[in-house]
Amino acid sequence: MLELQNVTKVFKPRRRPSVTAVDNVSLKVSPREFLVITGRSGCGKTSLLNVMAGLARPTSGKVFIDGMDIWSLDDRQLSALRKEKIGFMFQVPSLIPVLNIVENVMVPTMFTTGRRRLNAYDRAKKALADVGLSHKMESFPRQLSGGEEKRAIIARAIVDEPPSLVADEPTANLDELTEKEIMALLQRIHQAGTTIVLVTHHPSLIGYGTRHLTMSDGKLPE
Amino acid sequence: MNLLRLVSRSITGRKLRSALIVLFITLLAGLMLSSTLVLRGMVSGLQTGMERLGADIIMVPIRGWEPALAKGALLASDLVIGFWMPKENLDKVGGLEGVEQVSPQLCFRPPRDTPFSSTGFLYPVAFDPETDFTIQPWLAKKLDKPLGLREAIGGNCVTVPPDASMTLDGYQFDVVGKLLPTGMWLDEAIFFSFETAEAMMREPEIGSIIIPPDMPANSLSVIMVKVKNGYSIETVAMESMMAAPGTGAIRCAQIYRILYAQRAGLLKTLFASLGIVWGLAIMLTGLIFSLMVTERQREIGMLRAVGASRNFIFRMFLTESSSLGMGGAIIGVILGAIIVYATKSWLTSTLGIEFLVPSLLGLLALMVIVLVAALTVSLPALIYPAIRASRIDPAETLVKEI
Repeated sequence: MLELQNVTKVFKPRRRPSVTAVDNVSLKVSPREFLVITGRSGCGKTSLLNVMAGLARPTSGKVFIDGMDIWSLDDRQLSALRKEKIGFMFQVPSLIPVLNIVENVMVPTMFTTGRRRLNAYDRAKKALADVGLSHKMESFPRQLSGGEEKRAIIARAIVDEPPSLVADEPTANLDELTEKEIMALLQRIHQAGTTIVLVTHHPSLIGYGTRHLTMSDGKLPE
Repeated sequence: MNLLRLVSRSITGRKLRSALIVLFITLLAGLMLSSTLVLRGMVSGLQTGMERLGADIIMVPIRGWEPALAKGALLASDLVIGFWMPKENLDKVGGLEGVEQVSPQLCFRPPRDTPFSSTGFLYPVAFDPETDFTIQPWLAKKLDKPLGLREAIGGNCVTVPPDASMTLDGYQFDVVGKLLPTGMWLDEAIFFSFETAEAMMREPEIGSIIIPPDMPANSLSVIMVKVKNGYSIETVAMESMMAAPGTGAIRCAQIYRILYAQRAGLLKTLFASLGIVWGLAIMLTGLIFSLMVTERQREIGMLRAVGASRNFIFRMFLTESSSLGMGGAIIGVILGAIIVYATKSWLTSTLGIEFLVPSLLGLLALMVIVLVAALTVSLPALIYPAIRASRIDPAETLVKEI
């Protein structure tokens, strides 16, 4: 379903030496897989995820989602593909502060077409119920705890029931108990049929996945 | 959830920032409209005054000539107070071959801070209604009958009491007509017949406020002269001065050029200042909206990740900045118009400029033009940040440090 072929991503910051964040990586992620990629900070995990999800263009190599070379698409087509195929959990706080939680969860539905757009509110409500945040629908992001914020982000990622979910350090800055709650939630989502690719520097999360890979200095051995 | 809702929540959710942007643009749009109103009004006042003046030459006492020319007072009213010429000059000038029509005026001292004028100034002027061709063309409504004893015509700024009766320096007038706005000193004048003036000067209880104590009998302040078609104004002016020694002949076209030149300097300065202010304002507006984009990089990255195209991001930011800009501009032009109309009298008396304000329809048209001009000129400041937002790399914004 998700495939990378000889993907390399090089960053060339101004007046600094270039950095190879992803170095000739080839990877296949099968449907309904829960892949956990670990590695120390700075090894290229986030860059790999961004390339895989079509957010960052690789310097070389190809990325396929359901057999389609995503970088042969124009911006509109790629945005639509991301919308249809992939849900995101970002490492950084990404809820829009001026929207309440249900509105935040509804944001991806703005780009849905057809009849599905009509019941966006109901789907957002369901997603929040699935993550245990029904009581926080009218709250604003500043009113949520760290764990609740992560749940809201998961709800936003799954509101349109995408076949895949990519999660970048989903348990960052959470205490151990909350971390377990979030990972249990992701496991339930996986068991419902969603493919998950999760990157983290916590080895303790390896056990939640069906497959584990370790990334080091931009390289990912198969 | 849709783009408009997202934009409206963004605006209302950042109240202080939105209010500051709207206030800033309100001030700019208001400044643009009010200065345009004043500048156009100054030019309109001059043009209208010249079109309806009627006189080609104004004869004044020689001692009042140079001050009149220097200051460019169109009818040289208050500047010839204290200077007179004999009444027989009227027949001397009127008898010249090139003269079609003459009409006399006698100027009295203006009382200050009178309650009968919205500007505080009131110029009492005696004129001959039968020969007049410079004052009565401005009447808002033609008089039913000739101006009688104690009857007066008020300028546009004259405040007429409900019973149309006003007392000036102890002498009672009935105001039977009002002039249209002229943009000249006529707006602050009250006109009555020579018959009324003579009756006024015979009244023992009249104070010395408006009647100069050294005013000789049978004197005039000004003779308005209309030249026959086909005759040279310059030639008639020279002949008039020779026929009436001790007088000067002010060519009205000359005054118009002097007035226009005076105002042109002011106009150029004001336009240049306006241009500089607007240039700086557009740069600042662009900067503010660019900062807005920088502040929301992560939001942009997240939206791109969940399916927003570059075009969506562009439209979102353009809609938001245009909404704030349009809101501020509309409030600004409305407030600008209100302020100019409300302070017209103050502006006239404080700045020493006279200007005509347009009719309601003219004002609405000007407001629309200024609105469109303001938005057009600020378009680069609105579009650039939106383009910048659409080009933000989502991957770069979704890392830990920005």
